[in-house]
Amino acid sequence: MKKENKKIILDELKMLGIALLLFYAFFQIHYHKENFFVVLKMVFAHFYLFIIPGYSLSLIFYEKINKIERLIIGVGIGYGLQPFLLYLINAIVKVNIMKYNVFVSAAMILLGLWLFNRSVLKEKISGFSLDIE
Amino acid sequence: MGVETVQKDDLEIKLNAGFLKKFNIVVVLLIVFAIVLLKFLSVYDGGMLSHPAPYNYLAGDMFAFSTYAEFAKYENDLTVAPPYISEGEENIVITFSMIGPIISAQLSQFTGVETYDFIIHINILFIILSALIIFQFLYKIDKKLAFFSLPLALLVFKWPFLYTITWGMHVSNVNLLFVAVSLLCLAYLDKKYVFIVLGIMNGAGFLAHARETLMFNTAIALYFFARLLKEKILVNLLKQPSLIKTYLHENKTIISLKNYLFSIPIMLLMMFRYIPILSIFLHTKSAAYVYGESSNLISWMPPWLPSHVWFKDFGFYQYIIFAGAIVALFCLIFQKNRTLDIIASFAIMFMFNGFFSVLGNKTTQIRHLFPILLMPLVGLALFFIYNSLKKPLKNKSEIVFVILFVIMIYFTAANHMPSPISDYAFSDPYTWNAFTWVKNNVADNEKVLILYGDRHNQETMFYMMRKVQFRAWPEEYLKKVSTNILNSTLFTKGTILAENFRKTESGEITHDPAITTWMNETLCSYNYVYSDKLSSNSQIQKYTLAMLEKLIKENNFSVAYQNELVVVLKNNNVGGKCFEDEVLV
Repeated sequence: MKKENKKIILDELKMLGIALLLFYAFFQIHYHKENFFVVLKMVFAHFYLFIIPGYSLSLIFYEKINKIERLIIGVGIGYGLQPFLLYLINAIVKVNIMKYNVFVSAAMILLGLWLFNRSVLKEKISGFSLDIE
Repeated sequence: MGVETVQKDDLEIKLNAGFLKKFNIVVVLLIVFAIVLLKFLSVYDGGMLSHPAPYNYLAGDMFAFSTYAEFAKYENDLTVAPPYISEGEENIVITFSMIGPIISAQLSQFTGVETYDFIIHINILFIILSALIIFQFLYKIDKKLAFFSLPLALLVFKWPFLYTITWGMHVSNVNLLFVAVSLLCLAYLDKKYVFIVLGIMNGAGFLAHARETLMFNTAIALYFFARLLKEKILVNLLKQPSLIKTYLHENKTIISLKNYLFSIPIMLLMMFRYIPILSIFLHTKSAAYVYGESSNLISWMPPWLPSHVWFKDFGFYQYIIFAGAIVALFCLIFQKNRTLDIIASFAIMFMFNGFFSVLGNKTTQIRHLFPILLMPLVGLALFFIYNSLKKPLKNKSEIVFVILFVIMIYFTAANHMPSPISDYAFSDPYTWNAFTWVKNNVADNEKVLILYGDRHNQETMFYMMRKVQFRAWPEEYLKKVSTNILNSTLFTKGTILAENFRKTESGEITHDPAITTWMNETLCSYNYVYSDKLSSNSQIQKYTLAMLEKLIKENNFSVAYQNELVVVLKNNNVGGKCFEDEVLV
């Protein structure tokens, strides 16, 4: 993987990591009597189900919108689009949403990365792909 | 002498600047805010995420939201009401805003914590996130403007504003986040693909709670109107219509307006579930407006009505908000800053909608979220004052800004710190344990009658049993208690937690107001009778216990479950003859 590409990806992961730590720290203080693992699970649930999928899709605005504002847009997309997709799929197949919610989030993450790779990385840095070397 | 004075001043400035740089003042002030915020939040949740029963639930709507979250968690079809919220009636269409409940249901499934805990959690989280997003938006204009606006947000955790967290504005809180994100979308609307995000935010907003989205779109209208006037686009187009081609390629306002229009189909696509019932819904709503029923199109919530927000509730902030509204109008008319126009339109239109109830008298509820929505007004007023003092203050202006922010935080904490909230106002661990028993042991086709409980006035609480239930009508029951005659026939009511839309066999959706039923039935026609054993009124307690004992002795009922507070009787002869009237001695 090229150095520039690594830097881009590390930068984005750093952003998410800081957001996750702040989120966790805040709620661990607020829920100070709660079991450590319950709070941790809650934070991971928020990030895996909503925030990371939304953030991943907001990568399409890389370099057009700054990092913090992309994170905000990602939060909006995550909490708005993921439940809507579950609702839509449920209206079609009438299957309990809990059976596919994690896959919908995973699909959003992958779609975001694919779009990021296609529209940003490949365009700007020739020869880059998200495949692990 | 003169030289010495200059050197002294220089040294002082250097010291000040060095001090501020060393500590990164933005981070320090945010930490100060976070500490005070945590103090404000400490009255909620009792330091726990999970509780043995719905905690801090102060009104019935909270239970309704939890019921919908349970519904999303356990049911296969989210378009049709399950029997436990439709008296067992079939094909009742769900029109409720499902985004919030779906979020809570998933968090509950992922963590193993009950859905009711996530209703409060989401309320708090989304309010904080929205405040931070508005803060970030203001930060784009000016750092100080953002910080001056921040302390107002703390008021949302105090009565009467906390109504939004503990009484039942969950869906509005969820939509608040989408509205806040939409603000950013509006600022970047001229950029490629941002209209898709705006469409998603508006669509999710409609699915979360349409009212705030409608209000936000009135703000968008005001923003575009102001830009079109200020940039003289309308005048130029009237004079020379061919200019539109140039504008469509070069003018940020027109490009944004075009993209806004492009976002509408995406929003409509997300509203797909509501389109079949939209015409019926609008018809019933418009009929209500025309005949002056429950929702008047333009109404005014008088200040003496309880549990609604008025200016006095803002304390010393009310004057700053008034001043801020004037500054916002001034900015909207005279200033050229586009970002400022967005935020000024936003705050002005939410304030206008909330106080003049343009979208029906329920609109007044949005006032409970004013500490978040009117943040920009407080920021603008203080920023205006600060800017006028900036010149005389010269290089000490940064220090003054920090002092001013700390003073605001201090006065907000001193005057608006929330008092502790009732932990189990309606439900409690005993009630919840009884619900859990009913959930696990009563069959889906069996009917439960809720007889009496001092705190049973929030009927939505019983939907969380997830079983078909009916309630003895409390007023009629108390009348019977006063006569002292034990009588087995009760006036009961089952409530449908939907808007009475029914799907017919052909798939058509019709409005049927007659679905909600009232019945005069005997206690013996129900499979189970659920009641509190204790009451603060000894006469009621004696009457209820006598009634339950009579059912056991004379009507083949048996105790199926009981704890210190609740008893559930099982009817072993459903539909059998019930006991004769008897005077209670």
